[in-house]
Amino acid sequence: MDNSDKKHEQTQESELLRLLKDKGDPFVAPEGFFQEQFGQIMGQIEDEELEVSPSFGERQNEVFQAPEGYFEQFPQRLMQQLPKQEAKTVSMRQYLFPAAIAAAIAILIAFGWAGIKLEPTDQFLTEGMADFSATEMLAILDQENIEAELLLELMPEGSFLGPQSLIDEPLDNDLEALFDELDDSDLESLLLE
Amino acid sequence: MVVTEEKQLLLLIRDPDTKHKAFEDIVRNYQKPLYFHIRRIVIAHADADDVLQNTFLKAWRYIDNFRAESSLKTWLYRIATNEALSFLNKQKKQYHEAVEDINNDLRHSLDQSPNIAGDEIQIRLQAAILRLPDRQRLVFNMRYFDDLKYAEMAEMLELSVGALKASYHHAVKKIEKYIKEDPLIS
Repeated sequence: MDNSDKKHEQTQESELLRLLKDKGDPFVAPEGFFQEQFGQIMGQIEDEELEVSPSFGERQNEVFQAPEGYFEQFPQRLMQQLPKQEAKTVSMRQYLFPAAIAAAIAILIAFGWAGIKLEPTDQFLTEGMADFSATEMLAILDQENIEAELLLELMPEGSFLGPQSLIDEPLDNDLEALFDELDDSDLESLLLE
Repeated sequence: MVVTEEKQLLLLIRDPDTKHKAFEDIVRNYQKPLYFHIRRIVIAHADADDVLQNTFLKAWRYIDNFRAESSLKTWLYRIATNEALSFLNKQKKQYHEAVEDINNDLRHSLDQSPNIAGDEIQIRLQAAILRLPDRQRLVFNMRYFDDLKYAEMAEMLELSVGALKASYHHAVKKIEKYIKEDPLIS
């Protein structure tokens, strides 16, 4: 079929359809159908405000009551059960540690440095101990092993070195680790001695 | 609670220095609605108090993991609902009671509880509600008393909106029937 035939056919259909249109819709709805349908549909449309069954009457206020003062006290009762907020502590260690190091060094020097095992070849041994600054002494201590039993002798009674096992094994030469065992009051008393 | 207030509270929760205070604010804001939500499930005040505490303790434990994909309200309601239902399930297991027996006990508790206000008809309504299965009772309470939207409830209960609507519809029909059957009313 060529294009001219198609066009003709379309024109013919349009005319036919135009004729039929004038005859009106062949289907008829019952009288009142659309009014009824509209009402039913609108009734079924979700209206959350109207959803409550009327047989319950006006939406009631709360039937249940809490004992008097319950809500005033509840938050406090609950918060007491929570883990305590970790207080932001300002460690005195940051202030006392350098001073405590210096004090420990001074104590060691005061006791004559005796019994501490030093490597004879250590260059610092060739110089007078009294000439060393706290930092230099700390450097010396870092380099050397200090045996626990000697420290025990040097430290006051009731010091932090508790367990017997510490005596049997040599301690780390890391003084900071030792001072981590101390709390602030121990550090203070160490400084004041 | 307004969304912006909720966002601000969550920011404060993230900060260890303000976490406690912010959580206390959350407790103050949500204690009442959660209490009544729980109370309607477990009925007795003492039980509601226990469940409410457990709810907030659990919220405290997991609040750092809360990613705000849902609202704080939704999240807290979900915890409270699970805690309340767990409580009922525990009672059933503990006492080897059937659902109906537990609900009978709850109705008895309703009659005996000193912390009940409302006139006789309101109490009978509660008694009718107690005759519903747990889930249906929950849906009804959340819709009727808490005024929650279906979308919110769907998030809290992890059910579809359609299922919730159907559940509520059935609950309403049953409650109407129970009330009509009640000799005090008819």
